[in-house]
Amino acid sequence: MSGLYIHIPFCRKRCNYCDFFFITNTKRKKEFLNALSSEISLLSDQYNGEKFDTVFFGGGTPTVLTSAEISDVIKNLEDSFNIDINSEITMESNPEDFSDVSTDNYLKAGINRFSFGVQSFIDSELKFLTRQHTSEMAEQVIRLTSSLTKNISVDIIYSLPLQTEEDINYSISKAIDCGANHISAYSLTYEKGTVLYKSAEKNPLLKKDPLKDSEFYFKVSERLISEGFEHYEISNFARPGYRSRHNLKYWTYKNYLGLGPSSHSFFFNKRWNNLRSYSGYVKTLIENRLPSENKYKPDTEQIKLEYIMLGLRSEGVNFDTFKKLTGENFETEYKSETEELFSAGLAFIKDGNLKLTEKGYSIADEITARFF
Amino acid sequence: MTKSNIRNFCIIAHIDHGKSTLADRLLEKTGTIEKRNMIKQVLDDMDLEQERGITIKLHAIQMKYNSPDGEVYTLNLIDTPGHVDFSYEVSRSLAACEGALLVVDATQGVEAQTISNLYLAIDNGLEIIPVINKIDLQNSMVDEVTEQIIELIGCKKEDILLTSAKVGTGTDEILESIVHRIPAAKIEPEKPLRALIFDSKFDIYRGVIVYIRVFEGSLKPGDKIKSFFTGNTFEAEEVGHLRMGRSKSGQLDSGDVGYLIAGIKDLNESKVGDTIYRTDQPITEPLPGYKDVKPMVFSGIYPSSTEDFENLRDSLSKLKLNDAALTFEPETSAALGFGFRCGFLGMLHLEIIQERLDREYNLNIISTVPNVEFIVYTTKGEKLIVDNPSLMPDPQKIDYIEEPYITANIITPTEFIGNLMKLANERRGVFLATNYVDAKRVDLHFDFPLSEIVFDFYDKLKSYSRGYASFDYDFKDFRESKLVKLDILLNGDPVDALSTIVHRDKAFEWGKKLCAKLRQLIPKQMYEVAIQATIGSKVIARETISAMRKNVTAKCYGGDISRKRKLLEKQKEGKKRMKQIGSVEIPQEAFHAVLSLDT
Repeated sequence: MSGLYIHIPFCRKRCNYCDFFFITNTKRKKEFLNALSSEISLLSDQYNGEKFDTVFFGGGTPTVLTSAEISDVIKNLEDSFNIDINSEITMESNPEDFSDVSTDNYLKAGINRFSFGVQSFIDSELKFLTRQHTSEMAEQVIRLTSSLTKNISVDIIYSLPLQTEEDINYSISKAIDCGANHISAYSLTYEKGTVLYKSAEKNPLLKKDPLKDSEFYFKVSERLISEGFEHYEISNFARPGYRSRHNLKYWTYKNYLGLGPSSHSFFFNKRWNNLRSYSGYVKTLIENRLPSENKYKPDTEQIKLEYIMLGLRSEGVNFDTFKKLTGENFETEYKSETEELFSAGLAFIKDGNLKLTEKGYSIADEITARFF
Repeated sequence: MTKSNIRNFCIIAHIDHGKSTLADRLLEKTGTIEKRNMIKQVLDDMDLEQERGITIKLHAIQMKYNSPDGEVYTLNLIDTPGHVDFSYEVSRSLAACEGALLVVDATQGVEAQTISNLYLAIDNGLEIIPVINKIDLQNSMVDEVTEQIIELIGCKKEDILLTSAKVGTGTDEILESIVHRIPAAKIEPEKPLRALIFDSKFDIYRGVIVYIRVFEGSLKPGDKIKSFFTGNTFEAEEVGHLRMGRSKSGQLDSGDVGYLIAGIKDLNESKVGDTIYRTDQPITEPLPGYKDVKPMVFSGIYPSSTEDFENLRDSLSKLKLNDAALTFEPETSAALGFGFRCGFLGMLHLEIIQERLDREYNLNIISTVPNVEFIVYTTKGEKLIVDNPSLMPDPQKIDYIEEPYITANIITPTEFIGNLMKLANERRGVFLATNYVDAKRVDLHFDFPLSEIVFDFYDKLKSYSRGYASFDYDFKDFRESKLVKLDILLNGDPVDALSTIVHRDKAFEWGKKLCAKLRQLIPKQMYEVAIQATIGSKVIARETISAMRKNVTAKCYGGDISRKRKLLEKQKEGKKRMKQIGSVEIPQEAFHAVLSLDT
């Protein structure tokens, strides 16, 4: 079964580290929702033979949309696509958008998994990251949500300048305590073009310390694993039964269809993306055309590399899947590479999967490049 | 024998002392070339030469000079290469002349290279006309330099000409001196042809163009000719003089300098220093001074990517067309794959070839640490020539090893004698003599193992003397030395391309420094890497590169897989510049690590 991704391109304000696509003018919500509606109807025929079992509202900030608006979109999706009754329906959520009744309303609208963009439970860190909420707000919203559903994920960012081990431990403890059963722990990245990147260029104190980053990476993993979480992707941890089924579509080479500006799709062996420009996206749909571009079919060599890259980052390279995708036998094709990884304690084989160890995860890019 | 109006001469000068500028003035003054057509410094026409301020290949040019005495003279200026690596070629150019202008920079004074070329000129019986150049500069030391020259060649003060080639003063006097002080070329037309090859170059349309000085007899198209030493026979197709280009003429006569085209395909069929004669006029004696030039410094040159091997072979073959001294033979290295063992006259020659492969042939190459040639006597009584350290036999099979020695002159202001003695000591120099050039400068004479000057000796010399000392050398002999082969192991695997032959007393320090240097140059890998220096089975130094800590991008969501794949492909592209040896990836710079060791 496949996944559906809906990109909600609005944020109230840009965070200094973010390079994702969105606009800050929420007044254009109606225009966007109309365009999205057209996109859904243009796509529905083409995909009526496909079954979907995950829906993911990402952004931007999906919680800019009210529960009524979300409800309409979900209804529209259910009418237009074949969506499984047991689907995982996730919404990226910003604590500052929630009132006492929001969770309940979103649940009623059909959302059954909340992914909170918390980043930290320390106010000075939130301020540094120019987030709009306070730690108190976040705690309240998550505790409340947790009383209604267990399917809660919390994003945490580590390797902030001047952050101590106690700091990062505090945020993690708090997230678990509030009821998170899934935690995405990202090392702060300085993406070109962001405010943060420019500040770090000027102020060396803001630069990432590779030693500390590596240390924190292992500390975070250790901590979460000791709390009963499974490390199932480079930056993702979940208690049993709480992995992100949607994100696993990307990592296990399943099909997914992206809607909304700048979303990415992989379907019928082809990859493409929607127009990155908001106005381009809207305009194309007004003309009743699909806003997709850069469509291409990865060749066998590219498929191989993509699958290895994704597999090594998450649940492992599955030998049967590799054979199905490329027609080749992974174990014989990459004998010397895998043996090298075993002997260095960077990977192991389990149930027909080549999977990286904790140490292997930490240098996954280097390892992947070995297979290229 | 009749007297002629031909004067054949050359200019001896240190780099930057103004040889090319002076040549330009002479060409201008004699109307050989018009001022407005002059590209700065006509004689150096290769890019590399101009950049490095040196002349690599020789050229010759003919001028017609109307002397105030009413006669018209033919002046042949034969250019000489300006670096120690090419001293044999210099000696053959000098042999084609009767006289030389000794040009000394008024602000710098006499330098070692000038002296060694001067001695070559004196050995060849040339009339020397000393010229002090750059007298217009404020910091010129005309009196001091005059004294040095008098000391050096024992001339009179009034024999020395003063000029500023840049401004153009003194050019007339120089021209008059060439005509009246340099002996006229001897004319012996009745004798059988004997012509000296002093240079040659390859032209893709005409084959080899041979530059010759005709001493006796004459040569015209259609003559059947033979090279005395190589024994190859040819038929002369075209002869002529050298003006701004080739100027065809019916015949070259005794005394003339000119060119010969004879369908020669390979520079090695007509070597510099060889004597050309006519098969219908057999000769018993060649012209003196021929030497078969042999490479002194060797290095393995490998393509960075294996698919460039044939490309590299083609490029080396093309370079060799114009460079008889370059040698190359295929070899294989466990570390670097298929490549070539190349032989060079010296380090400059090596650098020029490397640079030309890069610039003109766009080849990305890895070259191994340069080494000299060793003569190995085995316990079984065999004599082996070893030009690749990795091919050195096991220590227990070696009776003894000989290495090449050079004899060197270092000219330095006296205040640096102490420093340079120390340097010579560090480099296993054998002190021979000190000669005072003048009150402030001294000529230190040493023998050195050639291997000791291959690595950064020149730079060291300059830094030990604040840039003032100059240096020149010539091959001397082979001598027995206590040498050992130092191997480098990465995680237990020997890297043949990093093996070196060093003196036993230096091996420990050398091994330690090399390991430390490699530790800096080899990036962190997926796991710990042990670097070991060994002699035989004995480990003499060790360093460890700790494993890479973290190399992973945090985000890979939103489904943008292409972007991530492209990033990794880029990363892989960067890795292509590395060589995989066993399980370790080594950047190309590491193969030069030895060169940058502070010894």
